[in-house]
Amino acid sequence: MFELFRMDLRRMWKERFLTILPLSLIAVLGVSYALMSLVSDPFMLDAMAAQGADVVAQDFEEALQIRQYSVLQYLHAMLANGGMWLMVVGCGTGVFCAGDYTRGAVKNIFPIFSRRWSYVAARAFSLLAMVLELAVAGFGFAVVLKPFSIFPTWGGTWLDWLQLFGTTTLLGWAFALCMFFFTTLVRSEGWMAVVALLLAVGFPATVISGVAGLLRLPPLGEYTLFACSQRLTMTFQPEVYVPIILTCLGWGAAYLLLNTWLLEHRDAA
Amino acid sequence: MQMAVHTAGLCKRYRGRAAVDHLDMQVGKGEIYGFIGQNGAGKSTTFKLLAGLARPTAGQIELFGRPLTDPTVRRRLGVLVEDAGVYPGLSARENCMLKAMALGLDNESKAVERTLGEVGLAGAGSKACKRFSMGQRRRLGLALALLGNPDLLLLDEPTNGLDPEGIRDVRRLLLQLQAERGVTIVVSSHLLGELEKIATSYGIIRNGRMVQQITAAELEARCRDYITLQTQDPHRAAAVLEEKLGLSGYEVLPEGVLHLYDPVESSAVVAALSENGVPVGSIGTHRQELEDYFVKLMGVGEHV
Repeated sequence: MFELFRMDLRRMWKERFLTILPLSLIAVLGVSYALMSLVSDPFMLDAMAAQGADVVAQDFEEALQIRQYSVLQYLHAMLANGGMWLMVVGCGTGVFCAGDYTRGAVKNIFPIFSRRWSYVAARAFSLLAMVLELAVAGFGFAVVLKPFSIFPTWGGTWLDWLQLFGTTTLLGWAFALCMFFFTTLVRSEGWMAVVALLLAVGFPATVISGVAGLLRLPPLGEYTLFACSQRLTMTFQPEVYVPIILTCLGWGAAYLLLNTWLLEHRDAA
Repeated sequence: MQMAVHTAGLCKRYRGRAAVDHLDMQVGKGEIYGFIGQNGAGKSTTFKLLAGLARPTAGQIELFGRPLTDPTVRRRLGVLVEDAGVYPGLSARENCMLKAMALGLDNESKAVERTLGEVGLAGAGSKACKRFSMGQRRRLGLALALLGNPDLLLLDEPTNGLDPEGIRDVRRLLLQLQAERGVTIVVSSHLLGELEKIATSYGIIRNGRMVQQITAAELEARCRDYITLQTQDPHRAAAVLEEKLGLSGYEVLPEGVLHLYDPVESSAVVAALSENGVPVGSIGTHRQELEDYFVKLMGVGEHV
């Protein structure tokens, strides 16, 4: 298992997943910040109004609110509520995992390892490493940005920062394991990007919630990873934090077991 | 002799159709086993089953006397099935390094450099595999199979796409591996002439079933010299030869051709036929090659 883990890390580095993905996340965060600072600039709003744009008092109020954001609030808005985090994690990990099948590289791996669980476990750890690096990149960007940004304060306590970082990483890892499972089903880089986007924007969660509502079932949609991303809080709240962790761990374990079972019962090539 | 590969009743069905149908295969340790069959006969599927890439529907597989699920046995395998499985954006060296890491080799760089040299890819540099020619990809696939000094090589058409020099190099490499390291090699190829030069035994598969397993020595005996003669009435000629010379090993073919497999002088044949008024158009001695033997076994006109 350790050999496969080393192999995965080297491949992540050589195929530039460990550089392109964090840079992509930083780029998206950067563009989002640029847009935020533009639309929250009162001089910009005045200029837009002077050009004939429909700028109302509420726009100025919202601009003021944005300018009073803390860095933690910005991170929470971008990574959690915006769905950006799941999209980047999903697309990156999905394409990485599908690469094993696209050109048949599994033919070099599976003859050596009779037990598929070692491949699954090694991949789980390497995906954790990838997600952790992404989380560090995202939070690191915000920390570096702070002195030059419109945000006046850091926001929250060290525990609030730690819980947001931890739950974001855990959520990302659980989602990556979900992508890994779907890769075993789909086995195509192109289709995995589509699957990742659909899952990241909450399409299945919406369908599950709708069906549960129609059938008068309990709110099953609340137990999806997408719903967890919407419930991430800026402040440390155990009553929110613990169910998110349990949901992520539960789904993560389920995807690992399903993946192992699928690999044991499906031809690799 | 210990068996390197032993299958019993091996089956693989896809949507009700048997790609491999009760295949019994025995490959002795240290042999070069030529695995021959038509397109779609089940060779690649058999390789996938032996490599653990596909699950059998039924039957058993043992490698070196141990079940295929034994992790220690799997480490002794080197596999090249269909296309070489590579990461296209990486170089040959990087693809080999990844395999070397998965194998847990001690000195990965050294092993990779040596193996790439063995297959003629030492100068491939940092070129990404997606820009390789078919022959280069084949060589890389062979390199990946050779990494880790396997005891058993499963090679599905390893010379596909190679130039004549490359084919010769692969042939020499396989012979060297068998002679120096006692590696067992199961190899399939459509170039039966090439297989004849290296194989010590053969397995012939048709419609997923093993038709025949034969050693090279036995094949040599069967692919004996024969006399072929052309006559207007081959059936009468056969009757005359049977009566006058006591021949029983013969075959009447279309268009007046008669093959005589019993040991007999051409002059005696001509004399016997002339005395009985059977004109002979032409007569000559031929040797049956593996391709002829295979085509005859499969049926006239069918493709390898």
